[in-house]
Amino acid sequence: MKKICYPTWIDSIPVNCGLFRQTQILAREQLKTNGIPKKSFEAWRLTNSALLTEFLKHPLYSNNKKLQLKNIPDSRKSSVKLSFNIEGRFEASIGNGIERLNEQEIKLYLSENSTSSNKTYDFNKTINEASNNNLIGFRVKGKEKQSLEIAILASLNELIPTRIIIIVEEGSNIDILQIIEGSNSVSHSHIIEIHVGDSATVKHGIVSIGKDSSKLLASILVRQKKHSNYSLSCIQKGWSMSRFEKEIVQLYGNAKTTLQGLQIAKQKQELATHSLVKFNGPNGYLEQIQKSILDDESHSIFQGMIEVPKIAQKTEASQLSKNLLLSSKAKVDTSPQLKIIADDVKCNHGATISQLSNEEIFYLQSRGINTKQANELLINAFCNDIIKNIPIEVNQSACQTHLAKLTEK
Amino acid sequence: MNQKKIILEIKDLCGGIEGKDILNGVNLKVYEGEIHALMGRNGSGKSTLSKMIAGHPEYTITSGEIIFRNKDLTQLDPEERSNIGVFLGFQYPIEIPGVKNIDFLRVAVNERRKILQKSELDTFEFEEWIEEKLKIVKMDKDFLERGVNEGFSGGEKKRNEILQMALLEPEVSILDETDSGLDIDALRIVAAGINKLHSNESATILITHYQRLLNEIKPDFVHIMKNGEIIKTGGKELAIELEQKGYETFQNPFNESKE
Repeated sequence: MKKICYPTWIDSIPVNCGLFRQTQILAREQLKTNGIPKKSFEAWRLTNSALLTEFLKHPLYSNNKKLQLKNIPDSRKSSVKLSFNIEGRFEASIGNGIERLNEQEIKLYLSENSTSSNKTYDFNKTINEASNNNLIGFRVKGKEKQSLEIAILASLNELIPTRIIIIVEEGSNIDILQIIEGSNSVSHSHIIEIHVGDSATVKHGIVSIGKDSSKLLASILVRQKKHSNYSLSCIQKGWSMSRFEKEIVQLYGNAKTTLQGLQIAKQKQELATHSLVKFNGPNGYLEQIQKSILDDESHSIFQGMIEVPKIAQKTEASQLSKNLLLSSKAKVDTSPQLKIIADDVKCNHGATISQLSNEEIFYLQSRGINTKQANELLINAFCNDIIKNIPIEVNQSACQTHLAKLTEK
Repeated sequence: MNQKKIILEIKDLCGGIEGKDILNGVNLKVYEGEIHALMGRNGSGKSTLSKMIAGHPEYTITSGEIIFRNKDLTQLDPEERSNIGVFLGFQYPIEIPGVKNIDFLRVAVNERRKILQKSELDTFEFEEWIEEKLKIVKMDKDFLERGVNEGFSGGEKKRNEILQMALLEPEVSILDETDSGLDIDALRIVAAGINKLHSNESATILITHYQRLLNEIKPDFVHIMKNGEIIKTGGKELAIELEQKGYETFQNPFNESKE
């Protein structure tokens, strides 16, 4: 007899009768068949399955009530701030260059991108589609630079599924800042999909801060067209478990991608990043750096894959993983990988694991700076090149409070 | 007439690193207003002495004392030594990428100012105050925005050391081969800076291999170190003699029969 995984929980998910009905049915079937990913899958080999199981135990967000979006007043008129999970009405008009996708557009999008089109089991996407009854889509257009801030805040013992699609039209330019917060036993399942049109520019920042036993599964899916420029600075801190899956495809090559990641972990936290960058055309460019700072018995995972098929000649790609260990019991698993078929490319990758340098600390001490301050300066220095690229101009004051918290040991 | 006060006294200092004895009984007295030059072959113990005065944790003192203004320095952490006015100019200043020079200098200066019972300087006050100090070592303001010594040339690193000395206003400065790696112009700038910062209330110990620096900065005393001891002390003429004859000529009068 065929085993059904988590039937009680899956059947308890409120059924959606609208736009998402078909997607949900398919996703629930997948979830019932596959459950949580097995350790034998390479991408899940290092993940603590006990923590993962908890995702399928939480009640769903507020009894099928649709997530509300609130347009938060901002002194900077050029910035649009949106917040999930805050009571209030969403203002439909959000700016000249940003408009919401209508149902028809979302339907079209889903038909092209739903789970059924996936050959392999994508756990985060499946759990999100099975439980989510809301999808928010934006279209960014025009030449004027836009700013968008999206806050996803939660503190209840619930599973919060959120999904956002942003379509950036040809030649447009946008800064996107996402703040994802969680405390208590909240679990987030988040997906953001960004389509970067020809010659468009997206500067994307994610500050994700958890607390207590909160957990986060997040997928970032980016499709880049020719001469587009996508940069991502992504910070994870404080989750008992967090996992970012980043999949960036340069559809026709000839585009620029910059990926920066920072994981700050302590206690028994497990923070992970799995990235795949694929070049489906020539003259692509990638610069990727993934950093982690680990204290106590924390665990950092990085699996990074760069695929350069034959068509992707003249690709230039670099990938570096840098890890700073503050405790002898902390653990790092890092695996930067290249899969290259094209023969005319410049690609390199590397990984370093180090501790704070005694010579650096002594130099600072010899200038009157005590060990604690010296450690702080050095840890900040390690993070700085990533933190400085978070597009905080979207909203300086809101973001800086979060950033200040980041490097507190 | 006022009697000159002693700033730093080293008594029979012995010790080394990783179980290896390097210093075998160093004795030195430094009074206010004095400039001392410490010369000697590579491995004679000059840098070890400077690291021990600054409190490098990897160096162990097996016996002896380091007294600064009647305080036993060996009981203090490196930062406490700096805060009360001991400065070490590094032979090889290290690069700390990501820590902005100006942030580092401001934190350092404010720690020193607490001890001097002066008010802390905020970012704007500090920027104004540092401009005067930059002139001493002819450094451009751009250096402040870069990481500490990050991508600096050898000469720039040494000038950054003297800038730190200017900012921290120490009472005793030990400058370890500040002249090495400098071209003639940079040497003059650095030497002029040291001369300008020297006062009747402070003292300077120059560790050097070359007479050239001593043409620019006139020492009151020249000491020769060998095998972890100061074997001879003289005036400026001793450096000239050393330049002409080399270290081989100089022996420890007490060990002569043994060698």
